[in-house]
Amino acid sequence: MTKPFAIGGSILRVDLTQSTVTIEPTAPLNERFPAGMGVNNWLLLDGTPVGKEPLDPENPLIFTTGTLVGTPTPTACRMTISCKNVMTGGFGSASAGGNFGPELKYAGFDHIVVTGRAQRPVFIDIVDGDVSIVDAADLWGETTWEAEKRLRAKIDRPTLELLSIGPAGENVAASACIMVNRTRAAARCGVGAVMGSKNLKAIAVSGSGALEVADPQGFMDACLDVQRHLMGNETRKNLRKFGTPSSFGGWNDKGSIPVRNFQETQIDAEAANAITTAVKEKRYIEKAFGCFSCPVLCSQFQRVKEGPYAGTRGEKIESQNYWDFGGKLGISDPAAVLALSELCARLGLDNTNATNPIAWAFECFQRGLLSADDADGLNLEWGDVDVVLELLRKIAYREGIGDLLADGSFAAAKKLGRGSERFAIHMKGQDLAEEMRVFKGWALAIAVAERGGTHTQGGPLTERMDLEPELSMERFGIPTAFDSTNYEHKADLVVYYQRFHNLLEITGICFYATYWSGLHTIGPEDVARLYGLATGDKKTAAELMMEGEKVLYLQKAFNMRHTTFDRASDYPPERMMSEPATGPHAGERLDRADWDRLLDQYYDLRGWDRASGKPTAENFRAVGLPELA
Amino acid sequence: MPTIETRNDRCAACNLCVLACSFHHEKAFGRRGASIDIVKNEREGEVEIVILDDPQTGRRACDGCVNEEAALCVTWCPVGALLAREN
Ligand code: SF4
Ligand code: SF4
Ligand code: SF4
Repeated sequence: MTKPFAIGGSILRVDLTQSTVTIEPTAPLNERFPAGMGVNNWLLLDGTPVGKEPLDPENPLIFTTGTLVGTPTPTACRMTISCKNVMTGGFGSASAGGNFGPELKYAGFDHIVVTGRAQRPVFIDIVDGDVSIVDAADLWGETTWEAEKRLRAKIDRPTLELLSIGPAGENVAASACIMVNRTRAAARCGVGAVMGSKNLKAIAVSGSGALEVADPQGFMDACLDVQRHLMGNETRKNLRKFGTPSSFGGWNDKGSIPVRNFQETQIDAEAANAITTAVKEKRYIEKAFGCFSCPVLCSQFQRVKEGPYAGTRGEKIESQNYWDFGGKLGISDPAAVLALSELCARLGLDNTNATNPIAWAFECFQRGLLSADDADGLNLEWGDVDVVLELLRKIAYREGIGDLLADGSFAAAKKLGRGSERFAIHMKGQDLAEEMRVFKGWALAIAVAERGGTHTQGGPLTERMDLEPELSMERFGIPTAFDSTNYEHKADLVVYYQRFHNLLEITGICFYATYWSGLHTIGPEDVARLYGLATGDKKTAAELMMEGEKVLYLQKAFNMRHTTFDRASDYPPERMMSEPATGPHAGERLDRADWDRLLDQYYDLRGWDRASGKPTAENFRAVGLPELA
Repeated sequence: MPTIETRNDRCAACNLCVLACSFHHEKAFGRRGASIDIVKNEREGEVEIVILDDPQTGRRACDGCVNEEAALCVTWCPVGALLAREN
């Protein structure tokens, strides 16, 4: 049988307990489920035993590349890593760009399913179809950067891509991420902890193969066309110049960033100015880089040359880094934010999930619920960079108070008690990344996200765009897509973006090149065109959006099987409902009655049961997943 | 046949030229089938564009895209890091 177009062709299964490797074709599952993310989610659902803790060795950790990854589709480089979520017990996933995904496909694989636990630390080495489990005792305890450096020194092959965990993953901190190419973090849901629980330090891959597509010339022409269209766009130009931090000022101006553990929603003008000036001046930026096959190039290499953080360097600082350190923890020195981000990358910490419990501890300290004695002698004062540096290290090594904070704010507050539970800001148990009070569609997507509190599963950015209602009607069939504080029709908008985001995860196209972050970019029609030319599967844009819908049902099925999530789990943290925003939308909050109605509308759109927030057996059949009914 | 001049200082390590080149040679997409290697040092933010022109290495040598309208890698590079120079 010849290999289907565009895909790697095989699924690699590695059982670390038995030390066995098996390889099977991807095609049969691609016929049953949406390729890429859909098959990933099925493998997770099918392979995760009921009733086991997230870190149980039997659970799978699944690495997946998008269907268009490895081709010149602009920005199609992404991989998704899924597991049972360490923080929620439900569906968990994380996404990363870089070069690993394409290389894995050139080696012939679409997915890697890792189960079991090695007796000693190991890494998996993939050289095309030749896969070995190799001792990594000498790498254990090392940072992600050191591990990567040593592996590169040891392995001599023409092309080599790596991903690894740091001390945080080894010590199974729930905030541990997986570092891809040392600069791209697959963050959230504790994916790094799951990898650590398997005694798996790293994966190395070298692929000598090539991907064929259905219509080579037509596909090339279409890719170049999309690339040129993308690069003519002003927002994309800003991404290339400044990276995603170019949007930080805008978020703060709208009063919509998390400040001091979500007590406020806007940082003061002086602090904001310190950050936005450095961004605008490109003070630390040396050069723009791109992930594999990306013409947008939002990944700036930055270097701090003087001052207390001189020597700091690295790539891929996001607006989120400024929310996490600048907003949540009150650190306004941009060089310090870079230094803290570098430390997270080295330790293998996801900055969002690591900073939330720190912000919680700071607020507890502010309110007298935690003392310096409880915190290994540290004074937990807002904005103290040295304390945050120390706490990040303590989390990664589970030292002292770091052991409490390493499981996230929800678990830490449960352990501490003293009324601190009110200050653990989370969704479904996972620390919250974003402010929710102002943008209503944004808030809905975050609250209902199957992964637990994330804007990357349907969070519309349109509410930040100052555009005309007519355009909203034309593009989305509703008048309010650009109307930030309006609840009306936001359920429709969220359903649209949930499908679209899942479609992007199916293909591996980066969100920053799409309709998500600007309307003159890659939309569903473009995806359908590229997908058809590459795979030969001529689905329409609408049909592909319904593939995205199926992915959501697979995740829902996982949560129905493994958690008690219900309607109550889809309500925002109490703080978002009772304490109003600050800044230009002062007084704005999420109103309970409005939220009740919004949830009803959201469930109604899919015909789900309003009381439980769950789909019916009929819903699963209707969407084309009868096996889950 | 044109030769390809490289400007490492501009290169963003996106590998689009590599994909274009593998398409030129094989009508398929991969790294080993291309006559270009992009070698990135992530620690220092540096990158080197290597054009392979020696068939002895077992890799395909650059043929200057003789049968194409223009050198594909040059057309595809989003930052102008590659130039075709007629000899
Ligand atoms: S836009 Fe940025 S994150 Fe997305 S693929 Fe390009 S460089 Fe990577
Ligand atoms: S000129 Fe053609 S053959 Fe030579 S490196 Fe560029 S794409 Fe490859
Ligand atoms: S296409 Fe240009 S920027 Fe991208 S890797 Fe090649 S030379 Fe560098």
